[in-house]
Amino acid sequence: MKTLKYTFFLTLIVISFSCSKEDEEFYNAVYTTIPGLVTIEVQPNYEVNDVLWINTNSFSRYLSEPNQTTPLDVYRTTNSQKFSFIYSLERQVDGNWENVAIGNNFVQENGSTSIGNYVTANAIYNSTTETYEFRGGLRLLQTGQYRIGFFSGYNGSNFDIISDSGNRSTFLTIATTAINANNGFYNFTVN
Amino acid sequence: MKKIIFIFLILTQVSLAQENNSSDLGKNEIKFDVVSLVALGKIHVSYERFLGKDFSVGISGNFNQSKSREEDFESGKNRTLEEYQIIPFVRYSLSKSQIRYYFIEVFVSANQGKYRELERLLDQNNNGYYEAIQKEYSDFAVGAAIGHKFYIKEKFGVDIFVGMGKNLFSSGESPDIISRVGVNLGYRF
Repeated sequence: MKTLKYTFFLTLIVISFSCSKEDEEFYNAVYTTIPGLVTIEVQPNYEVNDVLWINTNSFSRYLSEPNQTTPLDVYRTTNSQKFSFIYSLERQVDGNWENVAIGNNFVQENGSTSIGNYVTANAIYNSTTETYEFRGGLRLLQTGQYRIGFFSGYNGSNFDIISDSGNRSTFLTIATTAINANNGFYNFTVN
Repeated sequence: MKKIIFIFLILTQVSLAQENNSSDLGKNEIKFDVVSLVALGKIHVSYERFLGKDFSVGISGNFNQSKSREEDFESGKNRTLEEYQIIPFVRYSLSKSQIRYYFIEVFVSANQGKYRELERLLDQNNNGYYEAIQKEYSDFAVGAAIGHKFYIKEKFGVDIFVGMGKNLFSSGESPDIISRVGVNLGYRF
């Protein structure tokens, strides 16, 4: 009888842990890849106190979606007032890339930003232009070798720009690239 | 699940003092699952017919009445919402005693409910957008369960069981797996 009891409990435990979690999985999310939603505004040379701008000028509400013949209305899909992405500024010190503290050396023109170790950029929806707008600049305070780096995306090569969906709307994650960046980095020198 | 195990342990100990091998019990039993109602918001009623010492057959009805599960579905937390299950079952006793015994069960389940599926739609200007669309599902599952049963004063039965079944015709609409868990309080006559 003891063996049977133990078998019963063991079975009970196994069953309870092996129950499907399918219903708990988040189903209301779309992942797609649309390159070039972010642009680094490059210039031939950089001097101390120059500002390096990043924008989302090409982030329309209507985007070409891979394998689809019609544009994707990202605003209707997500009801999101903003899309966010993350990047950082690094400076080469003794051959190693070190994070540069941005602090107050950030210039905001459009959208909004949260600055910690990294810059979280929020492209805000403009209903007049039907675009998600962000333009922010990093003031370059020292000479040296620098690079802008974007966080890797879900597909490993791009970086993510993510909706702030609410109220039962679909969450949209777009793997994108930054124009003028190479493999997620833009390298430059400040003289 | 912890609550069910706890209740199981308590009730098992209560029944120890009453164990005998009497077979002078009725052939029919009606049952109501209190735990499902309290914990899951489901009305779960059953009828069981005893065919001999070892075998019984029965049918259960399982109806979702949980507002919180409705809300979880409506808010998008859960993809599916089961509305009801009709579950015919066959049980086989693993013990000699008819007052306190372990059993195994094979069941089938006709189940129906609602689910949401993400679809790409087109608006009047031919722009695409994604939306989670609500639909209905119906499916048929087969499964098995294991449980323990005992009687108080040879009339009032308590059975505790746990098991699961697999929906046979699911292609993403209905849940792949359905659970069969409960604590029935019954009257045998």
